[in-house]
Amino acid sequence: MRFNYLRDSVPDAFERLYPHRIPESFHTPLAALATAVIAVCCWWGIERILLHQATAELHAQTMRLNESRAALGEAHVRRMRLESLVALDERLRAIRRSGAELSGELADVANHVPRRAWLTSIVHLDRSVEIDGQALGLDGLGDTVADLMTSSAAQSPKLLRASRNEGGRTSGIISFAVRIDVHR
Amino acid sequence: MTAAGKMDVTAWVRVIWVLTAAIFFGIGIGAVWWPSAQAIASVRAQAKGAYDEANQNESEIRHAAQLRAVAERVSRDVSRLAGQDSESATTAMTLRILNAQSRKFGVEIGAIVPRSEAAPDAPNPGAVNNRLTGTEVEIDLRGCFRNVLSFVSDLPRHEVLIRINSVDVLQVDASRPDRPVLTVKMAATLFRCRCIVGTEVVRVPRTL
Repeated sequence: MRFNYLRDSVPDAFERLYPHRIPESFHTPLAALATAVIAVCCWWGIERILLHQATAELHAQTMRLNESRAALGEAHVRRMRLESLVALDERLRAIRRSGAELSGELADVANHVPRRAWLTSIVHLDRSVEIDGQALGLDGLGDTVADLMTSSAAQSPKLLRASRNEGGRTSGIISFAVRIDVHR
Repeated sequence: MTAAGKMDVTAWVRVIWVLTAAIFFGIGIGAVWWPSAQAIASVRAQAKGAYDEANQNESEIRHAAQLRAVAERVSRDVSRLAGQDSESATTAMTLRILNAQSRKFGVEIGAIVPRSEAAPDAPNPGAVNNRLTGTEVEIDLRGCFRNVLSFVSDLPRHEVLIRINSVDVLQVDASRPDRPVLTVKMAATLFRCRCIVGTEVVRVPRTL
């Protein structure tokens, strides 16, 4: 009879768990299986962490977007108020300029009346001015219309009527009415 | 061990290897990585979209905040131009101004006839018109041409908001050819302005 007095090697994990039931040929595939299970579990954990981080980022960006949308709404309201204020400002300025514009028109018309004519009335209509006046003969009337054509405030003078005064001191004087369109 | 037993063990080993492969590729890739990767990509895409939109919004908000200075300037301008806001104050101030201006320019005021509340005449009947209430007035004047023009030109530049609508020269008295006296009917509108002046602070959200 022969005896083996040498000690056995240290048992591995499977031998510790099931020292008598697991055959040696199962050790490697079972170790691989356990490794695969552990790796998949870790993988799952890592993916969950990544998904959580992405969700947290989405939440933060959504909060920021909501804040910016609210602020943008306020900004739009303010912009509309500003546009309204600017429109009011322009209207007020136009009102403040109205006197200067009208007097400028009148001065321009008066400066384009020749010496042989004079105005007796100027009446503002919708977008035109009707001028009544008197001129010395047809020459004076022609000069009046020609001079009014060169006015910067008025354009396209139209002769409405012209009639020669008969008899008396004003004989030879022509009364006329001209309508001119004004730039506004 | 018998031959049949040895075959059995080899088959079980193969089953375990197949199971290992199935767990790694089937569950690991198919059930863990792929759906998770899809979900993460989708969430990141949404976050990117929200980030871009928020950036664009903040850019617009910053631009709007820069308009604050403009708003303050326009508010000051409107306050300066607006004139009186009550009817009685407008009337009193108008009479005072007409008296002072007629003396200043040597123009005689014959009559002042208030007509009616002026109808809005701006192109879009919006907020601007709602802030301006007008009363039409006709004023009869007599004076030299140059004086009348100076009077008309200067009248809207005072504390009351007056728009000169038309100036009709009705009659020219040429008894003094060197200084003909005009009889003028001036149509004007006295405005009262209800102005909402002031600026609010634009909140700019914190940039991430």
